Amino acid sequence: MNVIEIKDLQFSYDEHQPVLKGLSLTVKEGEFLAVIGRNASGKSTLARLINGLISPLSGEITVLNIDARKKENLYEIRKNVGIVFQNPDNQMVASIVEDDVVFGPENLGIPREEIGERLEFSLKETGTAEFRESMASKLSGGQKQRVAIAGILAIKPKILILDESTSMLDPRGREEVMSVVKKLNRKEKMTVITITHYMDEVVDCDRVAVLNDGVIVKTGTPKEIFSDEKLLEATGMEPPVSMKISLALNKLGVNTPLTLDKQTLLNELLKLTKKPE
Amino acid sequence: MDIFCKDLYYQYNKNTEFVSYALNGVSLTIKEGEFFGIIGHTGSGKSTFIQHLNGLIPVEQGILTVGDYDLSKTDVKKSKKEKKQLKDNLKNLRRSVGMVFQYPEYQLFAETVFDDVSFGIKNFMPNLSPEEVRILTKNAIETVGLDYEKIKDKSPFELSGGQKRRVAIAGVIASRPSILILDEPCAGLDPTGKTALWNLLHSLHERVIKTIIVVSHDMNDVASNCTSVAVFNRGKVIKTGTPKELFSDSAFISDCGLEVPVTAYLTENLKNVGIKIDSDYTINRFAESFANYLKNTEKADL
Repeated sequence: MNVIEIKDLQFSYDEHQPVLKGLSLTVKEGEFLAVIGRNASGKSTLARLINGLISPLSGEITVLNIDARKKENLYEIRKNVGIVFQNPDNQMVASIVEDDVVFGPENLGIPREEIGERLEFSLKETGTAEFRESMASKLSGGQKQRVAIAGILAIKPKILILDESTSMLDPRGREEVMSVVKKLNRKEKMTVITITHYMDEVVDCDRVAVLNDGVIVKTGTPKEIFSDEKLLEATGMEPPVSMKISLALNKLGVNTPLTLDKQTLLNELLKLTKKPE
Repeated sequence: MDIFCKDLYYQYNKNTEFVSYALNGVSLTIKEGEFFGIIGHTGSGKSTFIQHLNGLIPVEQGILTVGDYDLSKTDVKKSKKEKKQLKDNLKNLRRSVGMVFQYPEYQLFAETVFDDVSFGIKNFMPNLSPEEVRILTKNAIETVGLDYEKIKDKSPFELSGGQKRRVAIAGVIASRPSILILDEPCAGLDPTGKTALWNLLHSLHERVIKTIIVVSHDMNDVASNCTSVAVFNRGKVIKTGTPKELFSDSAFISDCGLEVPVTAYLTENLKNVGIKIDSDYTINRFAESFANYLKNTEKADL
């Protein structure tokens, strides 16, 4: 089943500079999709259109079979699409972690007992229970982003969008956030769309969509996308580091397949060094 | 200008119950001419340290000299004249030590790119003629790889993310600092923008800026670009050396909450099975060294 269907979407913030120029994309239920593309290619605009923060000039966009262009549907859509933004400091509404997490369900008028259950579930899933009574401002960036995800989980959305949510974090913080998200995707079958500039984060996704100049120019598995040198060059993308190394080796006449991650690359290199028997 | 510091301490929330040591005895020397990397996980004191280097945070305890400027804490009472002298010195220091913060594009404020880039020059050198200001501004904008005529009258807010960041850097280098410090200069940039920014920093380093200091979380970038690196952990510099020296000890790097670059990971694991690949951990050198290894073993087999 498709949870998001977008057809010929057009959008612009001012009439001289169209941002999306007929974008089409479908997202399947339970999928882990990465959206990559240059700065200002329209990635964040796409995220905002999906949960109705902005509405398109023309084209169709349905989320869970609901028309996202209609104002009366926005409440239902936002209950089902949560976005984690770039800057963790911009999305904390309460000073104590627990209060921040229950802000969403409280506003939706969820009964008290159920809010309690949702709070426990969200804290547990994101590994934030240990600082439930802490001041949100005292947490590290990675912890704050996990609290932000907990707040979204408490609304029980079907779709989670990460809009460069890890770009302000250090490597460890980034890993914390991504492992929580991967778990939610696998265990809870939550559909995840991640918008990112970290090519190493894209490697584990089911599918990658490349956004360039307001349209999706290609979708495919990470391997398909990163093996397409012409596409990468035309869209300003680069392969992950491990693949850069295998490309450099190929150029020197070392025949090794293009690998996306360091473990696989290591195994390939070890194969090369083994003497034929 | 060399940077020298010894036993630098700094506390946040001093005299309250939330007191915490951000710097816990930092000792470090950065020689003129280096492309210096500062690494360490969040909260290790990197940002607090670099803010000491141009006097944004006054030294609380310890010795710090930047070239001829002594920023160390002294207990001697100063006369009015000395205080004025100190203030002038600080202004000169800030001109010599340019600071580019994280997401510097958020600090753009003027109506045109020209006004934004020339703001620093006008403040640091109030006696310049408008023509001299124009020349310095034009120079700075062109140095960061932007087209002066096309961009000077534009609003900084119309530009793309990568362009905005270049404009912000132009504003800092316009007053010709000899040391340029950048805090996570590539955060949030797309891959092309990132590569272009590293290339820009190298070209600045070759032509106009003597010393470049970069705080970065990306060990692959640090391995490929820096000549020396300092590792911060719990408010201290616990190791300095070339990227090669630091990253060959993956257990140590991992203890600091960091990860070694992919090239170092491969080198170490190959070494564990008796394959010695010697390189400086840049991608090209690693690939060359590995290709040579294969060639040599083939020859040996023949």
